[in-house]
Amino acid sequence: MKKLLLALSFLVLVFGLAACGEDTPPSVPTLSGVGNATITVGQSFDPLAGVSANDATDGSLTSAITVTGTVNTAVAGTYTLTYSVTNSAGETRTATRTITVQAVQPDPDPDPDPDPDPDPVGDFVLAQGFYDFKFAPVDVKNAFFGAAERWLLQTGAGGIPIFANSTFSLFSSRIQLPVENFVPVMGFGTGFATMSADDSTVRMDDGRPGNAGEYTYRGAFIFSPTTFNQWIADDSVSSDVNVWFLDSLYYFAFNDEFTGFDLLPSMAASMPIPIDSEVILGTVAANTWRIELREDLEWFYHPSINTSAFPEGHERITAEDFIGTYRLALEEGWFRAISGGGDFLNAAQRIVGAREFVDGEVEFDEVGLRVIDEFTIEFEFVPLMSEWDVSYWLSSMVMSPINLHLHEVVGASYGTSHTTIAAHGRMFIDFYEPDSIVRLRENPNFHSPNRTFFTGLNFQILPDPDFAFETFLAGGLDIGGVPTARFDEFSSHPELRFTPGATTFRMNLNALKTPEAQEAAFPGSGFTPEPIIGYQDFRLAMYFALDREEIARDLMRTAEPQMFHFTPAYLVDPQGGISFRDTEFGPLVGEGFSRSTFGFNEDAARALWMQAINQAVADGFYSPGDVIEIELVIQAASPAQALLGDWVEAQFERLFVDTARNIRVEITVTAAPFPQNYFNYILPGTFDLGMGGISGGTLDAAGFLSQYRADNAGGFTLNWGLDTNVAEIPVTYTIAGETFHEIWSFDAIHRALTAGVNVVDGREVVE
Amino acid sequence: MIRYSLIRTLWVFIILATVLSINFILLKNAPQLPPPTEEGRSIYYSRQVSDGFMTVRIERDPDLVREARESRPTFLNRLPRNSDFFHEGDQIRIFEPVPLIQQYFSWVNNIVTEWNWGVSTWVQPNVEVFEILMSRIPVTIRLNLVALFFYIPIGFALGILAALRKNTLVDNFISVFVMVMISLPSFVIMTFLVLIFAFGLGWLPTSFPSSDVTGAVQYTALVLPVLGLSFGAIASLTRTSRAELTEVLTSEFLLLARTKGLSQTQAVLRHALRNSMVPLVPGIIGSFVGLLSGSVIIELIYAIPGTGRIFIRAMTQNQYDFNLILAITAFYTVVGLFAILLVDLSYGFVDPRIRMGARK
Repeated sequence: MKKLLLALSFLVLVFGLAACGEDTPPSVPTLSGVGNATITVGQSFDPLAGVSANDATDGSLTSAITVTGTVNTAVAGTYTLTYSVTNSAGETRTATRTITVQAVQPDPDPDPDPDPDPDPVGDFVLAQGFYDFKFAPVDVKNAFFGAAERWLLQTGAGGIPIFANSTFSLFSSRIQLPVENFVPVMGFGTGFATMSADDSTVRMDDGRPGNAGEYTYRGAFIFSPTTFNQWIADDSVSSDVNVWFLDSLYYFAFNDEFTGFDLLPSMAASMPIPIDSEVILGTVAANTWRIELREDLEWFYHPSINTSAFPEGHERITAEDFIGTYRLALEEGWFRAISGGGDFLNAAQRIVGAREFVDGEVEFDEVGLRVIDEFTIEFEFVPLMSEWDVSYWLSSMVMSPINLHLHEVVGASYGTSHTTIAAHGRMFIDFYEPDSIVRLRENPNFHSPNRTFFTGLNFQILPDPDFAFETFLAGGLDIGGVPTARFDEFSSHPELRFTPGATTFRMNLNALKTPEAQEAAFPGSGFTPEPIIGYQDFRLAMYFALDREEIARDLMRTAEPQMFHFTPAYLVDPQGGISFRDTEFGPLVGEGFSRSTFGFNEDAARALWMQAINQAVADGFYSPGDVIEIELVIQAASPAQALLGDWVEAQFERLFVDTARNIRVEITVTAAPFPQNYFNYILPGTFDLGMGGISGGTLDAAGFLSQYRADNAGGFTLNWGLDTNVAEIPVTYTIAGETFHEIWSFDAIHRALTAGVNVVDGREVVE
Repeated sequence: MIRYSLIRTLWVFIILATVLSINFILLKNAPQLPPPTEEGRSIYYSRQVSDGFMTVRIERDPDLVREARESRPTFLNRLPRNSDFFHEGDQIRIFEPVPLIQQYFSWVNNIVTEWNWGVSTWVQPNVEVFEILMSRIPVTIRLNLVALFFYIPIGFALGILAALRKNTLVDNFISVFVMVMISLPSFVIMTFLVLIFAFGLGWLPTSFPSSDVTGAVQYTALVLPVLGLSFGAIASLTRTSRAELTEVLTSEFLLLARTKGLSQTQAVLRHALRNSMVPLVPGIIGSFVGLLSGSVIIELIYAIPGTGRIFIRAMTQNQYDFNLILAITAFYTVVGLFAILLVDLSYGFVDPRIRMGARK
């Protein structure tokens, strides 16, 4: 019996093994259309165009072809692409292909009487002339912006984007928000929310239920507002409080579809009125604009303020209040009037004579801020402004008046407490105890009483975010920010609200390559840059080596992977209200950058590394057996940042190895506290790689391009060694029905989008 | 005694001036960096000018303007350390720090001649620093005094109990409690207390109420912070009083007291306790200073608007509120120094054999 069983088992084994084999030899797929090619800078190139794959068994496998490596059509050079296809039997065919991108050469000996239309090179010509796209159609701005951002990715000139910090919050069940998802500028529209239950159903800050018939929004801040004088406020908490008791000339309201916003008059009676206007590219522009004020504007004084000594009619808000406030702000040097971007001196909306007045060179009557009549004020700007520019600038509550009568009495103490201010917004501050609570109540004098549903707001100051969230969970707040440590617990909560961050954390780099270049850029720094970072292939290799999803979700927790420099929070065209990423131009930036994996492609990283090291060895920078020591400076901000440093170290040391020559990369992680990581390492150029990220005005994405300029125009350039004024960015755009194909430099694009620029051979020329 | 006290008080002010001067110099030399963005930097420097820490000037020399545009690092090298500049078309606006020594003497001058400690620059701009301090001291002092009156009787009682019942189950139990409480930092205890009694059981307020809130919550809100402050102090006092009393209980004069016919209770109350007080009373006064510093973290956890909160805020990196920090430092230093003086004087009261300042 035993022998029979043994024999049967043997037979089963033999048949089993035989069944595993194939009768016919496996087929190997074929790849065609992968010959070498040459194109010109600026020409479009699709790596899959004309490439096909076939297999004897599976038929066409073209759709299964994977391509590693990229071709930067903006930069002349030789690029290697690796094509790979695998059939159902697991057989893989790979092929490599070299694409040469030829440079566009400006005419070395220009015609003494040049043709106004330069000869095209390929499909593209080098941009020439004076450009100002401030009033250009949205698509033109987006096309230029997208081209500039793509160039940053392709060259690594802006560092390597990794993740953006996001925030997650929950609202109490009685809050009914007008929108489900975050809308730029409007957020979740908390100010426009309604409540399904009154205060008697919830616990207020004293631990007891509130009053029936009252609807008090209960929020929390980690620190107190610093001041209620909006002209000297420079913290988010003060802004969040001030915006409730201060009105503005214009305000943002949801559009009818609740997909974006409209900018509507609030203290103003109508939209701005241009004086001596001109029409540029379909937009009305003028240097002088008038604002008509509502005639029913009134101050609200806290009941404890004694106004008996104030002149008659002090309750009314007129043109004198506005211009008087502006004059006082300039005289006092209140920093919101003279700095910070939204001020009277900033180039974007510089007021005629304002800077000279601040510097004591002219009298106030020469400043372009005027009272026309009791309810009309006038602004005279240095630059041409559109209706949007003016109304957007005046939508800030900073530009609203302070109570000049009260200021006369309390002087510099204006805004230090709830009894040294007067309100003209939706609420007034009823009670304020620093580091404890801010209570706001409905302003009975507000001109549009139905603008908010809330009858009051309570902002508790809870310094510990974890306890603030506990307070929310215990029913004591209407909003709770989910702490990172508890994110997993609430990540699948159906009511979880996601707010995209505005700061892209990136790995900034020093691509100066040689000590000579370092000395020229940073005289006396004595730092020796790592040559490999000077190679574009290596910078791209680093780009593809980062698994942004893993970093954002597993290491940073409450972060979003960012393969682009600009998060969805940024708008190139604030008037349209659509994030740049959501425009048709947004996704084009990432073409060829493995968008489905947020730019993570290890094969591409390896291939590009090999190209870089081959070239670097050929150039004599490295020899066999070398260890390339790269210092990575991280922000010593949190344990997550340390994990990120460790992750990058392990990944780079694993991928960037040249076994044939025994050359490898070794990463040393140095932790530096914020902002020393910038000021001691990145800004003075004494680093190889450095983590960091800063944000700009989300409604002015183009303005934020200044942070990437090699000339450090914004004072906070974080990447070195790459010339941003080289004409190698192809841009296609259409104005007035005519389509242009031009080659631009990054700097020229930045200036054209934000101010005027003289462009010669595609480059910005500074007079 | 009076002469001694006067001399010591004079020394308090000399030490205070030294401490504040050292603090001033160290703080002003601490790395201070402007914010990253251009807008942020322009605000930062405008504030520095209005706060009197920097001066601004305009440079119109075309050569210098060109140099500044061509190489930022080179041009910055021309300026004093921590200077910065901004391009404004055909001119540049340069911000330069006021020399430290000048800042110091103007600060001293304002205090000495006008008793003007300046205004807050970051925490509550334009508010007199002493006004801020005065608004915070009552709550901090109230909390600490309640804690003091709470922990002393409990600490003594436990210490006496442990000493009298030395090496029994009661003593062992108290000793374990003491070890645990001394080992646990107050913020850990406070966190647990809040999580259990406020959020978990809902018996007590989850945070300190604002001053406009009336009713029982004003008092119930003191329970958790007082407990948070007291556990460590109770443990410490229990330990020292047990040790002192144990030593006194074995002393010869107590044996004499018993042999002359006093009962155990009479001997302990009349002789042992009073003698064990000698090292304890100064310790209690000193512990008030310890409580004050411990309350900083308790204030943060329980959202109490006390002096500790503003101290932490004023120390925010790159936003140092110098005037406020120095005023708070002065407050804590004065409290500390006078506490030490009181400790020294208290020896004389508790133990008549000791006379402070007596001629040798």
